[in-house]
Amino acid sequence: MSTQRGLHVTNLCREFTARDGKVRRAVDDVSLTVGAGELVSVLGPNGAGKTTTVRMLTGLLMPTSGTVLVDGHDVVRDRRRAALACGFSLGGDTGLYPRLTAQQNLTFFGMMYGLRGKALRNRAGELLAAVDLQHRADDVVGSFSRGMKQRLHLARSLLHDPAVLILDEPSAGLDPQSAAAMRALVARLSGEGRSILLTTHDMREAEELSDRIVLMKDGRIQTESTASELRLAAAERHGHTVNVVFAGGTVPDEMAACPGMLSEQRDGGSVTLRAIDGAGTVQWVLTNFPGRTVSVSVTPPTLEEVFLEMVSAT
Amino acid sequence: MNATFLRSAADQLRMHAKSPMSTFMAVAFPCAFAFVIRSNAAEGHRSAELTADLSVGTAGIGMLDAIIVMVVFSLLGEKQWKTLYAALGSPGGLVPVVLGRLGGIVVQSLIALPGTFVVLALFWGIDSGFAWGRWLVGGVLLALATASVVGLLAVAVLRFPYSAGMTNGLTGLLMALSALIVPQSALPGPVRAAAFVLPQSHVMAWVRDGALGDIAAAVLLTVCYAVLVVLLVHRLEAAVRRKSVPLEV
Amino acid sequence: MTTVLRGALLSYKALFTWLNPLGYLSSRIVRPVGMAIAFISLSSYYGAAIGRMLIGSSLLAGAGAVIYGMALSVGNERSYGTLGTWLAAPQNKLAAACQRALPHIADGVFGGLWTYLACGLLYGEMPLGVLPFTGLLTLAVLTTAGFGLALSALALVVEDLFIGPNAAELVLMMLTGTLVPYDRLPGFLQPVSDVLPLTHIMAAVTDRLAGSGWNTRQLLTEAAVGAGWFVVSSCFLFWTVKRASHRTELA
Repeated sequence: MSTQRGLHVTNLCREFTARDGKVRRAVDDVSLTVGAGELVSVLGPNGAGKTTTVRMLTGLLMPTSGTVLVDGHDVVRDRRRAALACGFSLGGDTGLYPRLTAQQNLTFFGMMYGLRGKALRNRAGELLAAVDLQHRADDVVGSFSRGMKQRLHLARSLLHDPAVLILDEPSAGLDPQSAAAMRALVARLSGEGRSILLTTHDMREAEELSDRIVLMKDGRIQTESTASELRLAAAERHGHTVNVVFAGGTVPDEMAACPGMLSEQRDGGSVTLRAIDGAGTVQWVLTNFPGRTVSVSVTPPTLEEVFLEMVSAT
Repeated sequence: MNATFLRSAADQLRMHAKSPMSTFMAVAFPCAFAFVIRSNAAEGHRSAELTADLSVGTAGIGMLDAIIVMVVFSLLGEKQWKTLYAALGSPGGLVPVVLGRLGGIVVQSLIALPGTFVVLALFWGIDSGFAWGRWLVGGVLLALATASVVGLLAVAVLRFPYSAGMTNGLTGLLMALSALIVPQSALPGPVRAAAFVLPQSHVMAWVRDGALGDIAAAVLLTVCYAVLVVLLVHRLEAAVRRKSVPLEV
Repeated sequence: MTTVLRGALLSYKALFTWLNPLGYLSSRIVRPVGMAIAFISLSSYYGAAIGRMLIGSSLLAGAGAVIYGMALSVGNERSYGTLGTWLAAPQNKLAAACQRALPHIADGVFGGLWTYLACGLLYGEMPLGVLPFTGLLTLAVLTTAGFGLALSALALVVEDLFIGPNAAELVLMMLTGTLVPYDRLPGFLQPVSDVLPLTHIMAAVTDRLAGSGWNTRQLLTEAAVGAGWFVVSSCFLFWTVKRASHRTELA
């Protein structure tokens, strides 16, 4: 056993052989680390290899090569300990026993993780309360809404109090209110010192929750950084968005001479332009149109733009 | 109505005709039963060549199993995909879709007739007095009769959650009541009386050298069951609209 | 012990699809009696004694409950999308499969006994007393459980849930002497029959119905066959659990 806490993935690969003998590499040389108390989001288009990666991290799928250490335990060589250190939620409408109540589901799953008797009963009750399902504890899960099932998935993943938590799209398909509640819950779990790996398609969720973001495409990690670093790096390539509102409802013709401007879009007295040097553009506007400028704002590209740029890059 | 019915039947064949489970139930399962029948017939020192009644009865077991399995597969699939609401919202409602599925299933189940015949003929040879006409007409009628009765199961599968388990009971019950393996007269008293209300037992009576009255009774009962199925589907439609009975798993 | 039983009951409720009034009535009450009626009628129609067929059909009813139940107790994990969670959990899969078999073993005893009593009343004949039959039935469902464990394992790798138990039921019907007498099997199938559950019980039943005492050797052989199946099936389960982790589609 290694003494490394959290999740450590090194050179992870997974190949699938099709019936015609063709080998497809679904995950290609993925390395990442989620330290104790850290939350890392993995973003990527469909087919990027996120789910295959998650399945390998949780011990559901054997890697072709590479290593995964969960709280110091190798998921292949020390599967039992790794499983005890890792909680995961694959979310969705399935993955729970529809004919059992919420309490019975947690009891049954808890037994799979070696929990017994009063300790299990108490833990199930505690977690149902934590995910705000205590009032539905005795209802069968088949009658639950998608949001309630997602919360129960999360409760299930926490039964054995794992140090590492892997959440696959925990807020997929939830209404805005439920999604916000789910984000708050995940943030709280992260605050408790757990290492959390989150896969999501929700850029806002990733930006709001993550310490770092990993962008995956074609089975490979394209880049890994904090959300703000990713946005600033993109701004250096594609410029900042500068929005200027002029008094009098018209944009001066001289705006077309703005240095470093990549594109502009006018709408009445407002102009939105893209410029490499955001601060320089603001300074130029304020210098050239003193008294006529009502407001100026500058923003780097959004995470969604960063994501789309990565997806469209060949 | 007709177009939907035909489309539904064609889709049934397109989606499920290659189902290994259906072929297994239609051919392998009844052949195993035929093996049991023949072994016991030999023990009782009676003739056990492949006669029309043995062939149709064996195929009937296959049809019964295949039809039950396909009804459950097909309709549970519709419930899982939540496609029945679209059918319910269409002008014709659920009836042409359900009947179309049953129609496709009947066609699918007919494989049991030549399928079991070929296997059994290869093993045992064909009896010189094999009644080809009764084999063919009886076999087709048996498929229609079985589908009309199993149509009741279709309604139950549509109406109730977790109803797939009911298929098991139907196989056992209908096999006993249909007189597929032995003539009605060989069944115990209460079972013999119940067998009278099933069209399959009349089809089998005709195949076993019965009179035209048997075939008339079989056709009449088949039509009665089909009408009952249509009425029950209509009733289900009303229940879904009025009481919000779910049409999904 | 309480935990084991609680887990067994939860697995039964969670994974046994037919656990609802209609499903249970149909699969455990109506089906075995219907099948037994068909076979006993067959036997009586061809002039053979119905006793052996009544016992054979009833033992098959019990065995059927076990093989379908054990296959469903693992295979339905896939239906509910929980297979991945179960495989990833550190729980010993062999112990879990055995735990999950318990309610189906009880079900098998109940179903077999019910079939025996119902058909006995219907045909007015009870070839064995209720107690000796219950003893035989208990042995039969236990040995079948060893065989059923292989079906639990198979359910991990074969996606069509019912192929395994249906095929297994056919094999038991044809080759174990329950419906087809052992000496009527083609010679090359007799060695196969020897290693299947139920065969040696039926051999003991045949001796008994012929007026001899209970053939203890056959009953012990039956127990040994059950134990053998348990060992083989356990190895198969370990292999299928390992193999399942090499595949990607678990749900």
